[in-house]
Amino acid sequence: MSSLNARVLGISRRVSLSVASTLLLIDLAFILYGVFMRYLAGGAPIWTDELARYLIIGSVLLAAGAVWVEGGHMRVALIERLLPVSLRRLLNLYQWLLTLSIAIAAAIFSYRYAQSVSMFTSQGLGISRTVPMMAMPIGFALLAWQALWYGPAPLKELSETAETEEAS
Amino acid sequence: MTLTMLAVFLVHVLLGLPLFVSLLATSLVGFLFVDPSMIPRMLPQQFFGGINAFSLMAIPLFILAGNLMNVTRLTDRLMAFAKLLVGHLRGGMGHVNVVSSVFFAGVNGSAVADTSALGSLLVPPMRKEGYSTAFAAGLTAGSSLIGPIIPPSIFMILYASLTNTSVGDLFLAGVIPGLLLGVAFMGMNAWYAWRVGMEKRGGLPSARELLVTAVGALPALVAPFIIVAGIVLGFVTPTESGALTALYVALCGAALGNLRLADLWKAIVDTTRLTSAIFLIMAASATISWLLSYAQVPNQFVELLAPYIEQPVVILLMLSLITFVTGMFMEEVSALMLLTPIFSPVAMMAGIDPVHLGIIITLNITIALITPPMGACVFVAAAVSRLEIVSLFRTIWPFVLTAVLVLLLLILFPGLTLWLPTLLG
Repeated sequence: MSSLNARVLGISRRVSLSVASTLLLIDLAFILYGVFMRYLAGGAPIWTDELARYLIIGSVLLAAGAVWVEGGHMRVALIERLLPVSLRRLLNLYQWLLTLSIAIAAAIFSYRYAQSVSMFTSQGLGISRTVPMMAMPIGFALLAWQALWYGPAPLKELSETAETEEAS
Repeated sequence: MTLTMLAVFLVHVLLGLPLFVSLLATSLVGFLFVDPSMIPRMLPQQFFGGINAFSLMAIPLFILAGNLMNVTRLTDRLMAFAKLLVGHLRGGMGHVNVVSSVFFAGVNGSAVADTSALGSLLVPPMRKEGYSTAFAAGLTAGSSLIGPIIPPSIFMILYASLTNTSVGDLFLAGVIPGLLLGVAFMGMNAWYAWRVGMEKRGGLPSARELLVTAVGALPALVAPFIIVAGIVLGFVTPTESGALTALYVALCGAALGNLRLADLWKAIVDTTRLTSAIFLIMAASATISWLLSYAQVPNQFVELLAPYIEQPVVILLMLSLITFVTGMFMEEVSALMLLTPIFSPVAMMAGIDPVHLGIIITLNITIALITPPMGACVFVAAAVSRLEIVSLFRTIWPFVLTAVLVLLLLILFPGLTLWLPTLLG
């Protein structure tokens, strides 16, 4: 992997993971706020449940690409290890192409779907349903972006990522 | 259609694609059979709907609580307490391994995290005590099955959200089966220690020593009681309980001077990673579940098992066998997401209590974590013990058998799971 690729990937991985983690932290804060309001102020706002759901979904999808780059998505790499180098390269190319195609297709379909529900509003927050749904096209587009920069290289395993992080 | 989808899924899993990509590829093939024009509308709708449930939000929060438990080193205190309780017995380190798993289960609920943490800490001293590496690694992987059975449990939260069952009742129902698993593995360890002629190590701890260590471990020991009591008494929902547990652990860590901001952030980022991996599988599985329902697969399954519907034990044995075999070749979350909607109508027709079914499915899915060739805990146990995976595949079967015996006991005596929720629920 060239140094430019590695730098772009490193930055986008760190940024998307940081934003996703911040969403998780905010989610925790709103759930706790809901509990404390219920017991201290006699009632929790009706939007906390909905916001909690949307924040986690946003966090999950934003982190998808970064976790893919780190090799954190669950997979079985048994056969891959047993293949000769040439076949392994072919397999890596197929893995990459399929992931990229699915990410691009899912980004397009989910963008269209998110736009198509714009006239509906959510029950708790009263916002257009497009807003939470946009987590999907953004998440899949980020996955496609990171997959593009990663290229058809062998998928990492979590232990490799941990070693690299320790070394850096 | 179902067989083609199964074939597409298995091929992609074996080719090493991430599971959520394999599941999405499979659902695309399924849509081609049903109606390709549905893809742009139903795929995003089902994908989003699969993770858009408030009860599921408990999963990242319990994962966060477990991660915080590790970074604040509260888990060290639990292990020290376990060592004092059973470390002096014959085969003491093996017993410490099992008892620590029981304690860890109360805050963590993840068998893989349990295997990784306990394996790296306990396999070396177990070897020193005279255990073979294979037995030490096998016991670590086996006893980690207690994690998802004793509350809190990610699998139970998932099952509850799929079947509208009470999470509180499921958590209560998991206590006795979890303890049974612990007793079974301790029995196995005692037999091994006796067979290889291990000696007892040291004497009983003094009352003062025991009290001091128990007080040290108290913040971690009370966490499961807070979780279960809060949910069962109706004070909080499972999601709120997860948030409160995470806050409680963070405050305990801060009070003990073991929580730096960097540790807190690391725990949150690790939680984000794991949550993303799990939730994407859940979302992608939801699209396949919808396709299977659309193709009437659950109804066909009910018709297939109709002759046995008067015999709940036979039904449970059949469902267990299917889950066991499926679990050998499929990741646990996706297996749970795909099988539960198919099994649930059959169990209802047979008059099986949904809480009982939940525990049986959860234990089945959990056992899959140690069955070759895809048991995640076996891989982790082999890695942390520096053992060839193939040799652990050979030696893991007695541990699988022990867990299966506990499963059979639960199938034959539903009271073991239903007694506690009936009493306290």
